[in-house]
Amino acid sequence: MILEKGRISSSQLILPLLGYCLSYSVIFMPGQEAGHDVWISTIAGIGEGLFLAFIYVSLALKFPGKNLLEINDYIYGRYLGKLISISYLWYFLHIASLVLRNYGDFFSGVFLVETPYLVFIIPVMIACASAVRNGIEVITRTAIVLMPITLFMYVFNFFFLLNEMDFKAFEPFFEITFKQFTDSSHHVAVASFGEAVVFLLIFPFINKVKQIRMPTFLGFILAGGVLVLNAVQNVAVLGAASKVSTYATVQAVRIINVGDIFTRIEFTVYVILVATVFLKISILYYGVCLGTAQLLKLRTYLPLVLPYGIIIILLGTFQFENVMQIISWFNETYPYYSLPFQIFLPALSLIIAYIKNPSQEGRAK
Amino acid sequence: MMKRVFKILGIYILILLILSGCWSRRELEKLNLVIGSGLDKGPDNNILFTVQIVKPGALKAPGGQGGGGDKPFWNITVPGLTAFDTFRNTTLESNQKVYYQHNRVLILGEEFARDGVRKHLDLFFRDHDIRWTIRVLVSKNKASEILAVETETTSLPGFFIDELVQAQGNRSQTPDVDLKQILLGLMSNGIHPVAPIIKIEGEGKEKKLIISKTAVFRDDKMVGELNEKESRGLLWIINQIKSGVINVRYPTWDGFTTLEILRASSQIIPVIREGEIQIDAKIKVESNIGSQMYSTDVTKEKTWETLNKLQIEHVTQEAESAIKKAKELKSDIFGFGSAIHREFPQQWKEMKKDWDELFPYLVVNVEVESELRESSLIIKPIRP
Repeated sequence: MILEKGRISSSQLILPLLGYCLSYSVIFMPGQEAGHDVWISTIAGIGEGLFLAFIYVSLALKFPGKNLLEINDYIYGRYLGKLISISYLWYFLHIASLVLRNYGDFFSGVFLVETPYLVFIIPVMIACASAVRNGIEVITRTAIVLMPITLFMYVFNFFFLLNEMDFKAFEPFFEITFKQFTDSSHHVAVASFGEAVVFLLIFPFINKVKQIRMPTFLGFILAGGVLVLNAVQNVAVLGAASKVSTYATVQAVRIINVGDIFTRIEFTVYVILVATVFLKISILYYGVCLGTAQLLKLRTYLPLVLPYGIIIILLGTFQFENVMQIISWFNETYPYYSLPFQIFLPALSLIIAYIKNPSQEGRAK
Repeated sequence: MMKRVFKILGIYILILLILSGCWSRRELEKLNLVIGSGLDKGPDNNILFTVQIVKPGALKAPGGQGGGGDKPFWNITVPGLTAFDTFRNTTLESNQKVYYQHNRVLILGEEFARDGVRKHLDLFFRDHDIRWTIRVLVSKNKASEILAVETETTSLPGFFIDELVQAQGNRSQTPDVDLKQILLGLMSNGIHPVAPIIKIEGEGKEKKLIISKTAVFRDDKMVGELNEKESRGLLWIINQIKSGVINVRYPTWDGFTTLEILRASSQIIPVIREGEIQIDAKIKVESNIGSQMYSTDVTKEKTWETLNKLQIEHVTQEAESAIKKAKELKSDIFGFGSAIHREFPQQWKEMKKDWDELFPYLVVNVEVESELRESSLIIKPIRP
């Protein structure tokens, strides 16, 4: 039973991982509640993210060629394993719907108020469905096309904002309390890096499974670098106002005015947003379809693409009433809701795997 | 084969549907573009909002015929309870919903500013149509009157006022303030907002707009104003001097020497001396000799040094007068509090609550470094 024939090389993994990690940071500046110390929490968040990457990579290396669901079956047995796998699939479906909802709200809620929400949602979902139907190779290649553009726009915005930046805004350093610091850095980690647990479904498609360590860490560090750049840019440009802005990056980029020519260029943020959101939803969507097909022992995941697409749209549309609710949910509930999926279960799996057969890396069947 | 054709056709139709235009697309001639806006206090506890809309049909091409003496702008003044209320009330008179993306200036009437601006400016920070880069001014007259003055060279008052504020960089006697700076001032204990003051001079056809003086806010209420000398002093300290002139009087001759400011920079450094926090304001200024009224040889070292000393005296005086006035008004417009916050966060925690009361007792040492660069195109005095 082969659900996916496509293979990607290990170095190709960096860009989809980067796009996947970045997608939230454009809409909400994660760790925003830390005020002008957000760059410190972001760096700490990267640290936590790298720890998570270490867990995921070690787990994948312990079971080369096996994906998350097979690992769960092996470690927790047939029944408990299936249960955990199903909850993981729910989690991926849920994040996909959240990303979609944020994306739709961003456009229809604030910037193009009169346009209905579904007008933004449906084209993206059609594009994602098409990418998912074409498999992991196509998703990876779109990332290779889209991510350089995205990175270019980040850097472009940063340089054009340099003359607006006031680096005094960062002083005094470390004014936040310890609780705020841990909260905001954990927030950065769960919102940007922890969700990459879905890559445990994708690691087996890499042609040289042994070589996933470097690209994963590199992707995380690169994404972290962009996050720090973004945080520095927003705080330096907006000062205290970065803490109260719903969409700090957009607000900062709207200030760009270089010689009255390069002005009103916030479309760059929209380009970044569309590209990264497309990647993130595609990867999650693909993971859900593939996982379900594997769980139900189907010959192909293609018939699942349409129903799951509809489920993601509906789930995204109806689970929250308004943006304020989403923001408070993201700040208060989400960091704890994600803990089992992102940290506890993978870490537990890794520990059990070492207990079950210590020192036999790569020989579990 | 047919199936493939249908598939491709289907994709094209979809693309056509999506690409043919945005949902709430509006043509340019259907937009009522706002280029200037103003807020005034209304008669019964409400506010009056004035928007200036461009009439593209009446805009004259430079040097061309047409228009027929028609004003190219249209001002609407509407009342409302809240700012957003007034935004929408504009359609009482306007045939289209007005479009704020190209708004350049926001003028606050003095009465309105003295009443507290936070509650009404909230909308301007929240609304996505308003950019944080628009310029903010306080007007002596009603904002609606200011926007109604017909201006020269640019026939649109909104643009004219915007350019007028920018042109003040040549004198550096009023600050150039945008909405973002006001927002930062409202969000901090350690710095209060300022804004340039605009007023009308003359009557009837002879009306003209003049920018002079600076409005000082304490928290969100306007509490007073700085005159031109004090305004320059403020700009010396907050590092916003772009250019300008300094008139000094050489002690032994009759008449003035005018020095042209080339560049200036400043630093605010909080220090602890004798157990209390003080501020060192260090100002550096470079100038050229612009003109002189008497006949003396400025290339002589002694003259040179005296002029330099006079310049230092002049700048110090301006800066100190600004500090004195701000202390009288109990408003830290220089950001000394923010500087203390950055340098001594522990001490600031105790001070920040009653900073407005403590600020008048703050010791500020002004130090000026001055350099005279050159005497321009003439080295010897003009005399027989």
